[in-house]
Amino acid sequence: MLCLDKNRDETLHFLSQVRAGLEAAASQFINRSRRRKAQHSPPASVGNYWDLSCVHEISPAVALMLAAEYERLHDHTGWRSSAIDVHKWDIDVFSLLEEIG
Amino acid sequence: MADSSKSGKLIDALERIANEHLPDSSVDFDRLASAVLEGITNTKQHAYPAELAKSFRFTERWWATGVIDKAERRVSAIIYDQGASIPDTIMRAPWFPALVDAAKRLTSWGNFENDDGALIAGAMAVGRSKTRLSHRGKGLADMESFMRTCSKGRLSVLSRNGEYVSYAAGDATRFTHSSPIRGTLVQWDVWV
Repeated sequence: MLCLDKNRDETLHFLSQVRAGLEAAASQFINRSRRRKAQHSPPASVGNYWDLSCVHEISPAVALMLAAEYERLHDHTGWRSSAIDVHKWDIDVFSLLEEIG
Repeated sequence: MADSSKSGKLIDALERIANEHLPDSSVDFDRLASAVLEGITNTKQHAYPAELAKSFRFTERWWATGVIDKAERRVSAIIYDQGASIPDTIMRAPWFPALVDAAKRLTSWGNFENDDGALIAGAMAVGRSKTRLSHRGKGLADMESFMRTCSKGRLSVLSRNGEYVSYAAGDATRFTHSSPIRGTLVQWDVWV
């Protein structure tokens, strides 16, 4: 459960891990993109992702912070995240993240 | 102007949905809109100082959303920025040493400088004072004053490792967490 009211410490820890992981993934993406561009290869992909299929509840505040983190990195690196195993996600979690963007 | 227009649209949408699903709600949406705009103005004025760019790739943005919870009969507005946190900002303020002195003399807050919850509470207290200083605390206090117009509600301010929660009844509490967030999250919850 990702909620600052109901599961605050774990949620803050998760957000902290996502932030650090996304920074690292974006840096890898930039480096690999530069190399591939020099070699005229297809765009790079990122292997770093978080399994959200085990999340059964997410609050709007946490969804907003997650969306902002992804958007900031997209603004600075052009990297677009990909969702993994979306069919396994809780429908309410998926809907909220989709609505927030 | 653009920010005023965007936040206004958010609150308009929130009011429209609240009228549909919570028709007897007593939320003063004009005051809520003013509080949200104050929060966004605060972000624009303080959250993205030029020196932050040296250490962090940021976008001078804010994010916002609103929630109507029918089951809980709750209306919420949330804004978020990824800039310099409130503790960061006030520790750089010229009046910060005076604040630390006052807190040591007048409160039992202890190691104030290393307690982000206390730093946010301190910024709120400075904002409520009549010093007419131009700083982040003034906007924070204006954001809080909306809660005083509600019968049941709370304002939560989460910034770096600190959290400050102010309730409609006038009481407040603060926390300092082990994991920080980037920037500042402000959430108004009103139960109707």
